[in-house]
Amino acid sequence: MDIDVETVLPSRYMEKLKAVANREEDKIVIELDDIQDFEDSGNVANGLVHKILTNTWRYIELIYRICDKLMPPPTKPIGHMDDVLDVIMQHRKDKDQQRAPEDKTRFPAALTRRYSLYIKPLKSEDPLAIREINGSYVGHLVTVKGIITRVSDVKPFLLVAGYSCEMCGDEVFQEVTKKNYTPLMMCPSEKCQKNNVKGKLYMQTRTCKFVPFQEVKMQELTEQVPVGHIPRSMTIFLHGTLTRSMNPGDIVNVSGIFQATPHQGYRGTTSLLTDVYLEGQYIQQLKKQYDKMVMTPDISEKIQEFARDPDVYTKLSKSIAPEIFGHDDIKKALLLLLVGGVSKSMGDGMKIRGDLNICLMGDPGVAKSQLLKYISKVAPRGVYTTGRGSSGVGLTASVTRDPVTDEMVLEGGALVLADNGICCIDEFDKMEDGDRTAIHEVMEQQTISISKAGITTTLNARTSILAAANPLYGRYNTKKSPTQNINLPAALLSRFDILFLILDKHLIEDDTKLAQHVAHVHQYGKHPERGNDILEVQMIRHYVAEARSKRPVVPSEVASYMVSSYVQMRQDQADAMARKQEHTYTSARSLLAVIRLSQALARVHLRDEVMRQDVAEALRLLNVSKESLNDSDDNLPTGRLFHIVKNLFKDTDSLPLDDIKDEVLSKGFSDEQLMDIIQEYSVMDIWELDETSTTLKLLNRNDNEDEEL
Amino acid sequence: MASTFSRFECIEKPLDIAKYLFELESNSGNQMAVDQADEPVDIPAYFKTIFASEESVNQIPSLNDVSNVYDIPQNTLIRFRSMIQNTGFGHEVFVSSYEIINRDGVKQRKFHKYSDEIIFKDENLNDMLECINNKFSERQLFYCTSVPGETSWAKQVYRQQNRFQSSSETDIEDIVISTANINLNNEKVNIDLKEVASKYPFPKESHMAAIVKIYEKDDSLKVTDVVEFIGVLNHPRKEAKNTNELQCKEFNVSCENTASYCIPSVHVIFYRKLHPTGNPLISSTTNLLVSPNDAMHIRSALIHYIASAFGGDDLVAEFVLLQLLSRIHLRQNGLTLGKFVLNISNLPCNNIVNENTQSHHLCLEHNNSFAKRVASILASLLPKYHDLPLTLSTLNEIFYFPHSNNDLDSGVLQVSQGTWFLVDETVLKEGKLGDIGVRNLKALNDIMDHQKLNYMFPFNNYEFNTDIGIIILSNAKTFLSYDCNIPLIQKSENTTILDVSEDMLNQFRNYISILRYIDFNIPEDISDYIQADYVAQRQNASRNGTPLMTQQDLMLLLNLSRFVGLSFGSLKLTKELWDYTKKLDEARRHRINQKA
Repeated sequence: MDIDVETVLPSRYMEKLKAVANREEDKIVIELDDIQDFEDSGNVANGLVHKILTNTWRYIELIYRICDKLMPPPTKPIGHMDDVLDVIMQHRKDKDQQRAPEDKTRFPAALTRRYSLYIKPLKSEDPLAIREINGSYVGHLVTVKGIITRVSDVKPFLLVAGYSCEMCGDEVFQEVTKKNYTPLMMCPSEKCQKNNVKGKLYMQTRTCKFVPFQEVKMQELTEQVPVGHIPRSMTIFLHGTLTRSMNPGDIVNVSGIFQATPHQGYRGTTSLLTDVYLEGQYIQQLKKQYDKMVMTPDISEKIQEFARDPDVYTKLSKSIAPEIFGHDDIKKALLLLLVGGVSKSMGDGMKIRGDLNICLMGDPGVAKSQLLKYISKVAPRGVYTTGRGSSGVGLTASVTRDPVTDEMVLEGGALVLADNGICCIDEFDKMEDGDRTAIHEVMEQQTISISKAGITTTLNARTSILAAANPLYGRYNTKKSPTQNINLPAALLSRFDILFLILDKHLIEDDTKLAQHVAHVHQYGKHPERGNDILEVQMIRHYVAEARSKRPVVPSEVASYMVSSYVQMRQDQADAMARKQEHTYTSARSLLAVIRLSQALARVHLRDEVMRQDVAEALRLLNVSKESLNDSDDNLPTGRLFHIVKNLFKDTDSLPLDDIKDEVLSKGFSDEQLMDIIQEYSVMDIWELDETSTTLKLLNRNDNEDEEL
Repeated sequence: MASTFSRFECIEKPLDIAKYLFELESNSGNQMAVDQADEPVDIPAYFKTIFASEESVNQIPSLNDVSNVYDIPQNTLIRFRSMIQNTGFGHEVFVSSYEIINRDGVKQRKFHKYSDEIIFKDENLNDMLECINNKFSERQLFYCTSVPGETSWAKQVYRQQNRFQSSSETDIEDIVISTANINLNNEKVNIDLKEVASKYPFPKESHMAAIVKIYEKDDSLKVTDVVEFIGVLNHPRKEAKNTNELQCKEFNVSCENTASYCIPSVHVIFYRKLHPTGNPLISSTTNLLVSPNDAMHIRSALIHYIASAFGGDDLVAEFVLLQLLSRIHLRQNGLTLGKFVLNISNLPCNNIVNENTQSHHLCLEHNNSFAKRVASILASLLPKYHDLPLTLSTLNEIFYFPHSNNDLDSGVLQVSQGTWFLVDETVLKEGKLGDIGVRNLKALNDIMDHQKLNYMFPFNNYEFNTDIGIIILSNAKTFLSYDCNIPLIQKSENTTILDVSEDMLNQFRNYISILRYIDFNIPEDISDYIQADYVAQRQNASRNGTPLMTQQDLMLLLNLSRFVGLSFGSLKLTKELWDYTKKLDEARRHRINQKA
C-alpha cells in the first residue's frame, strides 16, 4: 500500500476521512466513477473497476483496511457532547496503544471502526430487472430496479460480540460475519491458560457492537414483467446508515452485492439449495411521479421525428380510440385534454388552472363511455368512475381504517387519485346535486377541502375532468331547446372548457362509413387503414409526456389576436341573445378556455410559443362545440328543409305541393328528401297532406310556434 | 445404451436412470465434456423417445388420479395435468452435480438433478465432507394446481385413458368425490395447508397442488396455462412441520419454502401443453372439422337438450348454444373480438332450495333449483365449468381476483382459458357491499367488458388476458355489464332434464369444442351486403321514428353471425346466415319489447 495518498485520492475522500475521525460523519461512499477516472488516467493496472464489480465483498474488506490505515488522528478532542460509545472507543484506542506490540489480543478492527463503507456503482450502469439476475451474478455488484413492497423493522445486528471472563476479567471479542454464530464459551486469554483454569465467558451487551439492520422486499415493476407472468420479488439486506432509506411504494434503483447463503431449512438442516439476497450498497430513489416515464433514446428520437410532421395533430387525434368511428373534432379535443394547458401559480398563492375540462353530452349508444374509458386508460393517472356509483365522498376523499395497521388513513377518492391526471366521470347527469357541487371546487380551484373525523386538510386535485352525460329525457329531444335538454346548472357548465353534443343522427354517408368500419374490423380482425398508421397507446403516452414538459408562452401579438377574438365572441353572444338563440354563455372563463386550448395545441407541436394558428384552431374547436348545440336540428338536411318549408307558410295555412317542390328544388334538395320530411312531420302532427297529395296543410300552428321558442 | 431400460423401469426409478446416463458419460473418461457442458447427456430427449406415443404417456401414473399423494412412491415418474397459478417464485439455485473423493482417493462425479434430497447411499460421512467441485445450476419454480373447474366427465375420460391404473386399486367413483390430498373438511387442517388452499381459485374445494420445478429455460409457460408436466415426484416434507416451524413464518421465510413443506414437488423432465379446449375427447388424431350435415343434426338435438333446462324455451337455448361457441378470437390494440356475455332474464322467482342450510353459504354452489338445472346441463357439455352464485356473503368474503400481500393468493376468476361460469344473480339480496365486494364486482365487470383480469399486488396491478365464458341468470335485466340480454319464456313447467345417452353427449362435447376453435371468415361481398343492410335499416328507422340501430347493435349482430355460422358448421358467412342471425336477433328484441 505504498500509494502516495495526497496525489492519488481526490481530496474530498481525505476530507471525508477527517470528518469520520472527528466523529462528524459515519459513512464513506467510494464512487466507482472516481476509480474509473483514476484507472483511465493510467495510474493503476486496467481492470480494477471490473475486479471490484465482480468480487465486491473482498474489495470492500480491502478498502476498509486501507481507510483504517489512512485514518488521520482526530483534530477535535473528545468531549462530553460526544456519544458515550465514542468515549469508550477512545479509551480502548488509548489502551490499544499502551499495549505491547507483541500482545495479540488487539481489538478487532470492526469494533474500533466507527463508519461504514459503501460502494457507489458506475453512473453508466443500467439497472436490471429482478428476473434478469441469475446465478452468474453471485458476488457481483448489481443494480436492480423495482418497487418496494415491504420493509421490516430496523433491528440491531450483532457485528462484534463482546465477552468478559469470570476468572480473569479479560475482555474478549468475537467478530460475527454470518447470520448464525456459535458464542465463545472459554476464555482464551493468557492469564487463564497460565493458571490452567477454564474461565467461563459471559456476553456483555454493552461492549458488543451492533449496527442497524433492515430487511426489504422489492418487486418487479409492471413494465419489467413479460405478458402472462407474475412479478418476482427479491430480498434486500440493509446495514448501517442505509436503513430507513426506503418506504413501501417507493420505486428505487438499489445497487448491492448479489449474495447466496446456504439455504437454512427448518430445524437448522442445510440442504444443497441456496437462498439469495442483495446486500444493499447504494440506493437511488426514483421520481415517484407516474408521468415521469422511462424514456429511451430510441423513443425520444421517434418523438422528435414525429413532432416534425406537420400533420402530427391530426395523426395523434386519429390514434385516440381508433375503434370508435368518426367524432374527429371530439377526439381532437380529447387529445388537447390529455396534453393540457399550462398551470401557473402566482406569487400570492393564487393558481391558474391549466387543465382542461370537457363534457360530452349525447344520446345513448354514441360511444361516450368508450371514449371515457379509453382516455382513463391512456392517461398516466386516469381514473374512471360513474356518477351513479359515486357519492361526493367517493369522488373526493374519505377517511378509512387501514386493515393492516389499524391506523386511520386519509383516502383520496377518484379525484384525488387522479391528481395530475384525468378523472373521467360517466353518467354525470345521474349524480346527486349535492355531490356534484363538491366537484365545483375541484374544477376551478383544483383542491379538495375536507374536515372529517378530526382531520381538516386541503388535498391537491390538479385534475382534468372529462364528464359524459345523457340528455334529460334519455335521448336528445330535438324539439326542446338545448338548455332544456342538457339540464345541468350553469355554474357547472361554465366550468367546462368545451361542451360537445353528440347526437345519433341518421346520415347515409356516415352510416355507410361506420358500417364499413365495423364490418372491416370483424372481417379482417383489424382496423381499416386510414391513410396513416395509428399510434400505439404506449407511444401516445410518451408523446403526451413529452408535450406536457413544454411550457409555451403567449407572445404579445398573439395575445392581442386572442383579445380581439374574445371581444368578437362577446359581441356575437350579444347578437345571439337578441335572437334568443344562445344556449351557452361566453364569460371570462371562455377566454381562459381559449388560452388553455391554444397552449395545449402549441404543446402538441412541441413548441415553446403559442402561434396564431393555434388560437385559430382553438376558436374553431369552440365554435364546433357550440354549433353542435345550437344547430342540433338545423344542421341536418331534414332540419334545414323543414325550416325552408316552414318559412313558406308565413302567411297561410296551406300551400300547393308543387309550389313547395319548386322552392325546395331551387335550394338544392331532392324530391325524395321533401317527401321524407313531409312524411316524418306528418307523423308528429305538424302538417298534413290531403288525400290527393297536392296540398300541404299546417296543423296547430300556434302550438308549434310556442315550442320553437 | 438407450435400449437398456424398459418403459416400466423409467416409471419406477427415473432418477437411477438419469444418474446412470450421467455417470456413463462422465466416468467414461470424457472429463472435458462434463466440465464444459452443464449437462453431458440430454436426459429429457431420452425420456421423450421412450414416451413418444400417446399410449406410452398414458402409462405414467397421474397425480390427478390419486386421492393421496403418498399412494405413489417417492421418486416415481408421474404426470400432473395442471394450471400454472404463479410463476413469480423465480429461480432456485441448486447443486446439479458434485464430486466425491472416497477413501481410495478416487474422484467420482455424482449427479444431483431432479431431486430435493441429498442421497448418500454408499458413501459414509467422511466421503461427504470431501464434496468438492460443486456444480451450480438454476431451475424455475412454478406453483401449479389441478385444473380448476374440470367437470366430472372430463376427469373421468382422462382417468379411463390411463391404463396404468388397475381397476381394482380404487373405485373410480370414490376418487371423483375426493380427488385430492388437500381435503379441507378434515379437522386437522393446519395453517400451512390453509395457505396452500388459498392458492386455488375456489375456496374449500379439494384439489391437488404441487411445486413444479422446471430445468429448461422457457418463458413460454404463462400463468393460467394448462400443461401436463412429466417428471419425478417428491413427497412433501410433512414430518418437519410438527415442530415449532409455525414460528418460522417470519419475514424472511420465503413463500416457496412454506409451501414445499406441505405439498409435493414435481421435478419436470419434460412437459406438453394440452389442447386449449381442455376437452379430453379431442386428441391430435381427432378430425378437427364438423361437416355441415352433422352440424345441422347435432345442432337441433343440442338445442333441444339445452332447452330442457329452460322449460322448453328453444330461443334461449339457441342463444346459450351460440354463447358456448364464443371465443376471444382476436385481441389487438385494445380491440377484443368474440366476447359474448349472455344475460338470461325473467327467471322464475323463489326457487331456492335448502335455504336453511346456512353452513354452506360460503360455498360457490348454486342453491337455486333453476340455476342447478342449467348448471348440470353446462357441466355435462363443457370440460371446464363452475358455479358462481352472486350472494352478498360470497361477494364480500371470497376473493374473485388473485391478490398478493407477500405471496400470490388465487381468486375465483383465476381460471384457465375456456372455463365457463354460470352467474346466478337471482340469489342476490339488497345489502351492503364491503371493500372486497366492490373490488370483486369490478373484477367481474372487467372480465365482461374486455376479458381482462387485474391481479392485485401491493402498489401495482398487473393485467392478464382471460377467455372466460359467462352466462348470467337474473330476474330482471342484470346490473352487470353484458353483451346480449334475452328474457326467458318457459313453455312448460317440466323440470326434468332430457336424458341423453353418453354417446350423444360425447358428440355434443366434441361439436362445441371443435367448432369453437374453427377460423371463420367474412367474405367481401357479404361485408358489403351487411353495410348496405345497416344503412337501409337506419334509414327506415329514421323514417318511422323508431330507435336507430347503433354501432353496438351492429357489432353484436356481427358477433352473433359468427357464432351462428359456426353452429351450422360453416367456415364463412353467407347471406342466408346473416339473414338468419337477424331473424334470431329480431325475435330476441321482440321479447324484450314485449316485456317492456
